[in-house]
Amino acid sequence: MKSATLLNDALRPILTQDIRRLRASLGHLLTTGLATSVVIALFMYIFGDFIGTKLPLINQGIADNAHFYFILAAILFSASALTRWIRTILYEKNGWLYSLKMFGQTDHHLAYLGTMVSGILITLGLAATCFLLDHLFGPLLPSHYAMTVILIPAAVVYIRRSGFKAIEKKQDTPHSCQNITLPPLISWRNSRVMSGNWSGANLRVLAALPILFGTTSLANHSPVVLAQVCCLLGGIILSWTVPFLVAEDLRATWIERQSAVNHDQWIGAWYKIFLDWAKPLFLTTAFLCFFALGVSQATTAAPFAILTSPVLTLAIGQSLLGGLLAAFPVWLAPAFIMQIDGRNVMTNIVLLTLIGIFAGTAIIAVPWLAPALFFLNREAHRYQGGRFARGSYN
Amino acid sequence: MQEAHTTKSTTTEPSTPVTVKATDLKREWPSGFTLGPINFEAKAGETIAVFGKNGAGKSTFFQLLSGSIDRTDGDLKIFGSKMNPDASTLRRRVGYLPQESTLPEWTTADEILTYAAKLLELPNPDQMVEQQLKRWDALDWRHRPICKSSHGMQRRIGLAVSMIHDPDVLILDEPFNALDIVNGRTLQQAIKERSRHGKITLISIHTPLLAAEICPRAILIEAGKVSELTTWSSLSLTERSHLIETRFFGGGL
Repeated sequence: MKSATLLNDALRPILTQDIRRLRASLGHLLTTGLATSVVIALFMYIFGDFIGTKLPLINQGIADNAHFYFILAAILFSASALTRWIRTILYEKNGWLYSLKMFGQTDHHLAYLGTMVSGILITLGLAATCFLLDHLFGPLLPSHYAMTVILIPAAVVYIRRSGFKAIEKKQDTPHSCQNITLPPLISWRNSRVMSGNWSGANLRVLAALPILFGTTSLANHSPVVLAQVCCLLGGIILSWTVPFLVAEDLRATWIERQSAVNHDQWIGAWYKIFLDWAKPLFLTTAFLCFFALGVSQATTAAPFAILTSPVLTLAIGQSLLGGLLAAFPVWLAPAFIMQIDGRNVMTNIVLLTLIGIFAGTAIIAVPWLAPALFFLNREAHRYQGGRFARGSYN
Repeated sequence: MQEAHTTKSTTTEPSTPVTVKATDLKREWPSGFTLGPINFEAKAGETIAVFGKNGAGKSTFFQLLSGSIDRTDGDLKIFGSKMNPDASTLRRRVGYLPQESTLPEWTTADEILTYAAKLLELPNPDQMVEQQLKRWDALDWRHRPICKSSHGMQRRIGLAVSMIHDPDVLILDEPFNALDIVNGRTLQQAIKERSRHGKITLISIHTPLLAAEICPRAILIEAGKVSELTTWSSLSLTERSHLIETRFFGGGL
């Protein structure tokens, strides 16, 4: 009886706290769970043997339907992305039309110009999309083209309406300081946060291990893919430092906020810092890969066999890919760090790991997908805009 | 003692220009909490006490005024210009000390103030830092790590950061917390001096008597709504304190 009471007294508060915590963070958990499921599902879908072996076995009718809806979804996605991009370059801060408005152009002129330019850009963009889809995934159906034609005026009207709203909101706002504020923001973080964060420092050392192992293993005739996976692992581990550093930084960002620093400036400082990490990491890893491949060639063929034309091209390509795989996770990390909650280190580690695995394996499988990283970075950066104040503790 | 809810200032001359003007200002959070719509004006030289229970929306109100967050709806103009997170030049005219003014642990007062001065592009940063350290009696502590400083010292450094550029509008969220008697008095004098120079100060205080002493005007934030305590200025210090206690405790204290 006594032990039951003791158990009750001890366990009940813990369980109650857990339930309370679970209820409070249910939204975040669901979002993380959903995002994780989507990423895993996509990963399985793209890199499983589904396309290679099972697809031909599927009934032709189902395959045709899948093809139809896939193309449709791709057109819709492209239209949406293009619309947002055009709206940004025309109407957002420092956009073409925004600048013209600031120089006193009338609304009538701007509306005309905006409609013309956005119409041309969206038409060209969607035409290019249709051309690519047609060549990559087979012929487009008339209904696909019809949908594309309908989307063009819809996008132009949306861009015009929402773009003018954005201009109106930002008008009469004296802003400057974008470039002037950045150096102190960067130097402050470099000198304080970097040196004082032990978790970040340990992870930096830990990240070097797989990269060194992977690159040196190339000299022992290990498969190139092993080295690439090791480089990717090192890069992902290095990207884990970002959540630690940002979470620590967010504890005292009231100083920046009361000094008129906005989200773009704050995240811009982190971008610059991690770009400065990624650049030497890319070069070092690529050099190590190339050196190891040279040693590997020298032990099997002539001492300078790597310098022969076809081998050299292949070695350079593989080395650059190794460097890219090591460097891109840390370069990409700031674009994702405020997506869910910048203060939550574990959530961000999981998120960055999934993104690293997903994007990294995609690049290993199809190296020509590497430029898509820039698109991913830009879109992710835009999506998390303005969350600096919301993610702060104070 | 019921108060009428109006938005007109009762303490300054009608001819004094309005510096801060919020019209139907509203901020909605994804959690469902909504602040506003708020109609609020503040004129040059006013010192305003902001009362409200925990979670009433004081911090959101302050963040909106300081431009840290953007409004969902309505309009907020300071010195006639629209305030939002991108309005860097305008935001630099507003100082803000939040309730939890955590400082980086392994930095020193000197480094933090120099950093703030650089961010604000002050013309003479060293002199400004020196001046603030002297005002807050922190000259001897300027090179000591923050984590080795007392809570009161950290608060003083926070105050120094928020006042280093002598902002035209200063927002202080519970600034007297952790301050000793001497530094509490220094803060009171600083606020009065600001008022004499035509600068606006908004202070969140949980001590009615202290608010009564330093603030000629008071507003109340309740469940996301801002209301003016219209009779505040005509009351004596004791009556002001009693008014606040009545509002919060219903006369049952």
